[in-house]
Amino acid sequence: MKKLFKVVLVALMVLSLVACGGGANEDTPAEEPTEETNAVNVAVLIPFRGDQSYFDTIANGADKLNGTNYNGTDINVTVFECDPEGAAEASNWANWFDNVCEEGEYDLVVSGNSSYEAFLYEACKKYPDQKFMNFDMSALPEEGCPANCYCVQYALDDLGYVVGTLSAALTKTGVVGVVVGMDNQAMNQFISGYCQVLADKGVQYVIDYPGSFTDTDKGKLHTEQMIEQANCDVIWQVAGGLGNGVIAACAENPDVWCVGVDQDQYAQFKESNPDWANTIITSALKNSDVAIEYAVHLLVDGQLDGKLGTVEALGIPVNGVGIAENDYYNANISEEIKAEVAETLAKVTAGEIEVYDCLADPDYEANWPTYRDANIVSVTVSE
Amino acid sequence: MIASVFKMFGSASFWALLLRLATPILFAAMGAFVSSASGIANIAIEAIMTLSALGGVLGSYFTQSALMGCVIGLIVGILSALLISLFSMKLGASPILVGIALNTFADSLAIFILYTITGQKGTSASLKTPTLGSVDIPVLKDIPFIGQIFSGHYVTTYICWLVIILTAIMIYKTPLGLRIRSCGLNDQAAETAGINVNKMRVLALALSGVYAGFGGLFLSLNSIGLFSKGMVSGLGWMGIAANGIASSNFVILILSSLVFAVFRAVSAIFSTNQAFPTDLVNALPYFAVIVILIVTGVVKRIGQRKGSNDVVLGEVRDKHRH
Repeated sequence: MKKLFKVVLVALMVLSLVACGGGANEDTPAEEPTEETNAVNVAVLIPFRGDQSYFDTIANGADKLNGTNYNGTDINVTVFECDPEGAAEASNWANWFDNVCEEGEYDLVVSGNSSYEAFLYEACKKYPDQKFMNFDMSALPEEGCPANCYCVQYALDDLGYVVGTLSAALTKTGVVGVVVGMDNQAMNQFISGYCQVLADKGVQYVIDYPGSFTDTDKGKLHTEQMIEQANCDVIWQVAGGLGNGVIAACAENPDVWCVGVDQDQYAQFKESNPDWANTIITSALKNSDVAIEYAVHLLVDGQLDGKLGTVEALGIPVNGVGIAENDYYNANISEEIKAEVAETLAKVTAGEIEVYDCLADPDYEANWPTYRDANIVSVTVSE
Repeated sequence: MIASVFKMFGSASFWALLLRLATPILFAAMGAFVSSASGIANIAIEAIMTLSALGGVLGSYFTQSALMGCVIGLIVGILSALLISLFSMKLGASPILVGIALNTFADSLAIFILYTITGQKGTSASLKTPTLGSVDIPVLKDIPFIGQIFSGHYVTTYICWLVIILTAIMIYKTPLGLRIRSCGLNDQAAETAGINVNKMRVLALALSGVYAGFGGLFLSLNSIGLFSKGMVSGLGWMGIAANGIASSNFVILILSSLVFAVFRAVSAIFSTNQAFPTDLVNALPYFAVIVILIVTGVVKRIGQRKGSNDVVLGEVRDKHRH
């Protein structure tokens, strides 16, 4: 028994060494830039790959961008996974930023998002000559946007407006719903346009805040409540991994459509789980990958310097947000609804429709509940 | 809120919801119960649930059979529970420390295994996994109120209640149960009476692995059909809290698990009601755990002063545990 235990222990150690070795290789830059051609080196710092949602969108976009050529300049992108546990440990992130910034070998360092942007701002202070980008800004530091950082936001209010329009057109029961991971200003930006358009159209909606991004069982349970008790038949999930539970509940109810988030979730589940894929009519895309590509191209064109120290909201015109118009969407949506959605997209893009953006609202605490509750319906258990 | 809560208790769908929500807590609670009844604390319920949840999904994927997935998930549960006996009984570590180590280790290990097999760190969504289904009970389902409550649940929910009955019989009506309990009450006396204490504890831990394993399988293979990082999210700890309240009384164990489930149900229903702060509503089940633990602690303390029999027994047990 003891001998076996020793053997297993040794095997485990060797295995972990091998595994670590493999990881280290991935992290080194793909190739050294040659001296003759122009090249830019970009570092992308994310906590981890493999959430099959938000961070994967960014990492896959970065992989795709790596090795491409734009206006005669080679683009080298390296993705660093800095926080596999998602522990948001400050010293750990500071180390990663030191590793990346110290040598000055990267022309642009990309990181950010509501959970990790504080570490990025620290690095901005420490390395004033380094160019940074916050790919998903939710709040600025107290002293304002760092002069060496380009911050990007997304017109999620517009995105929500389009999803709301589609939901209103699709619903047969007159009640739709949305599951939002957390109740905070940044997350509520997703649904501020959504609530507005549904209230305008007289469609009732349920908002569920499960308070988690991981508890899949809770997501499924809450969605079942929304379907059974409030008759929701179009449900939008904005809740990361917990959203898998939302999709599972929708898939069990043939009359219910689900709207995915961040990436094309129909494509994500098409092979492995057709039942799930077939309930996802479309997905609300927050194209962080497009934003990074956009910033890198600005860098190559020499226009990024003008944007450092500023915040920009990327909307539908530059493809910062959008909905997935895949084959499944085209096959299942009537021409009439498609036209309505396309028209709304155009109007929102052109600025013809004023969409309420709760993230830009300085008086959020006072105004948001009014918008949120405009035509809301609460789930109560029927007798 | 109070009025709507009362209205809720009169509805069949609420009680159905309660049974569904109680399942993982009940499994976790029984897992903690059976091991502490034998005198060895298993605080790694959360870890075992996580590993079994993953083991079940991977087993089901590789064999393309939900039943085999279930078996493999349970084996994983037993093996991880036996790690506690290996480290604490064979190698002399404190079972609490081993439990802490397992809890911190399990999440990362699950992600590591998931990544090695699927290349993904978040969920097993890319694996085509057969899942366990739900059961409609033939005659019962047509009875209006009762059918709504008791029919159409997940397979594991029915297994859970079957296991509760079997466990109650095993613990209180069989020689095996008596032996397990005697090891917990006074291991030296048990030893003297010719009971192999170590064997009983290994057995109890293995059983605890089975219970916690079922809890994990409920979450991954039955409810959702995939493994997702962080999916157990505190249910194992609720089971351990229920065991803490029960202090070796099986009926109180089941009741306190059900009370926790009631709070989870209330929280699920009110999370869509914007009249209440959502953060507070989401914290309700955990808040309830703390309040109930405090209340039962105070009640026990009062009982102790009066010299009630139960507590004396409990004290004897505590004294001889180490």
